[in-house]
Amino acid sequence: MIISLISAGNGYVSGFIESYILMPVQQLAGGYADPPQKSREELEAEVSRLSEENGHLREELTEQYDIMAENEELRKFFNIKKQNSSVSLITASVISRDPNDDFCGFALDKGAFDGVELNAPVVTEKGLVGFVSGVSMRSCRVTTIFSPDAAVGAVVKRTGSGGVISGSAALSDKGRTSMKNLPSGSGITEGDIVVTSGYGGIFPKNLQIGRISSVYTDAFTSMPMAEIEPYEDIGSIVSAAIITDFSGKDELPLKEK
Amino acid sequence: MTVSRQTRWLICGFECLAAIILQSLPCPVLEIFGSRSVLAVAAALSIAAFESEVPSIIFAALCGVLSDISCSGMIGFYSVVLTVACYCMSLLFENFFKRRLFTVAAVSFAAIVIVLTMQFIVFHLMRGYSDGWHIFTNHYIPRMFCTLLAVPVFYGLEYILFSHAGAG
Repeated sequence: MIISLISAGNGYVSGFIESYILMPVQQLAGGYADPPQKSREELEAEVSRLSEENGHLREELTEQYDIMAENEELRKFFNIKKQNSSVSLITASVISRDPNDDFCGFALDKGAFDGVELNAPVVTEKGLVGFVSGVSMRSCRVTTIFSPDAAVGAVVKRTGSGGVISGSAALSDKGRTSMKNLPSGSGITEGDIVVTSGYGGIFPKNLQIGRISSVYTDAFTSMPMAEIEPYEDIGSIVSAAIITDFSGKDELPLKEK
Repeated sequence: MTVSRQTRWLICGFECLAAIILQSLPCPVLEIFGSRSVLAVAAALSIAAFESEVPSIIFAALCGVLSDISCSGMIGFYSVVLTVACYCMSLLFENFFKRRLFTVAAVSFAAIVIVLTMQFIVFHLMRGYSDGWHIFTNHYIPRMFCTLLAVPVFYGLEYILFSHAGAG
C-alpha cells in the first residue's frame, strides 16, 4: 500500500512537472529554435498571391449568387414547362414603367440580342400577363392583357367556350380585363377558369390567364361578356418570362371541310 | 460661386436625363391615384422658364425625344409638342412675366394641361379607345396635377443655377 501510494504520488508529481514546467519551456524554446522560413519579399509575394486569389474567389461567389438567383427564377416557371414541355422561355426583369401608359405596360431587360421577337407571349409563374409590342436590341416593351390592343384567344376551361381577351380603361383600374365574342348560351359562370386557346399560333395552348369574376351582357351587342380577374397582379410584377418558342407557334388552324 | 453658362447647360442636360429615368422607375417616384408624374415635361418647362429660346428648344427636344423613345419607341409626339410648348414658355418669360415660383407654376400648369390633353386626343380618342371620359378624368387629370407638383422642385434647381450664373 505504501508502495502504491508512493507510485501514485510519483505519477502525480511527474505529470505536474511535465505539464506545467517542461512543456512551456519546450514550447518557448521551439519558437526561438526554428529560424524564419520565409524572407520579407517572399511573405509580401505570398500576401499578394493570396489577395489575388481572394479577389477571384469573390468573383466566383458573386457568379454563384447570380446563378442561384437565376435558378430560383427558372424554378418558378417550371410548372409552365411541365404543362407544355415544348415551351422555351427566358426570364427577364422589369426595368421601367411608362408613366403615360394607362394599362400597366412595362419594359423588360431582354431584347432582340436575347432572342425576343415581336408578339412573343409574356408570362409569370401565375399565368399570362401580356405580349411583346416593341423590341429593341437589349430591351422590349410589353403590352398587358389590360390593354384594348390585346386580343388573346382564350377558352373557358369548363365549358370550352371560346372568346377573346381584351381590356379597357375602366376594368384596368380594377385590375380586371374582359372576355368578348363569347357565344350566346355559353353557360359560363363566376369562378370558371380561363386559359389560352392556342388558336392563331401566337400564344401557347393552356396558359392560365385568370378566373371569371362576373358575367354580363354587352349593352350594344347583347352578347355575353365576362370580366376576368387575372391570377397575376400585373401592376406590381418585378420579373417575368418571355416565351420564345413553343409547339404550334405561327401555325394557323386548319379550315374545317 | 459662379456657374458658367456651359456648366449650367450641362447640369440641365443631366437634369433631363434624371427626370426621364426617375419617371420610368418600376416603383413610382410621385404618384396620385395611380397616375405618375411626367417628370420630363416638368423639367423641360422649368428649364424653358429660365433659358432663352434656343436652349429651351434644345432641352425640350432632348426631353421629348427621350420620352418618345421610352413611351412608344417612335420619335414624334413629345418631340414636337414639348418643343413648341417650351419655346412659347421661354418667349413668355423673356418678354412678359417675371420668374417667380407662382408664375412659373401657373404657366407650367397651363402648358401641362395643353400637352397632356393633346396626348389624350392623339393616343386615345384618335385610336378609338372606349372609356375616353374615364381615362381623362381618372388618369390624365391626376397626371396633370402630379406633374405640376414636380415643377417647384425643378424650379428650385433652375433658380439656384440661374442665381449663380457667371458672365459666360
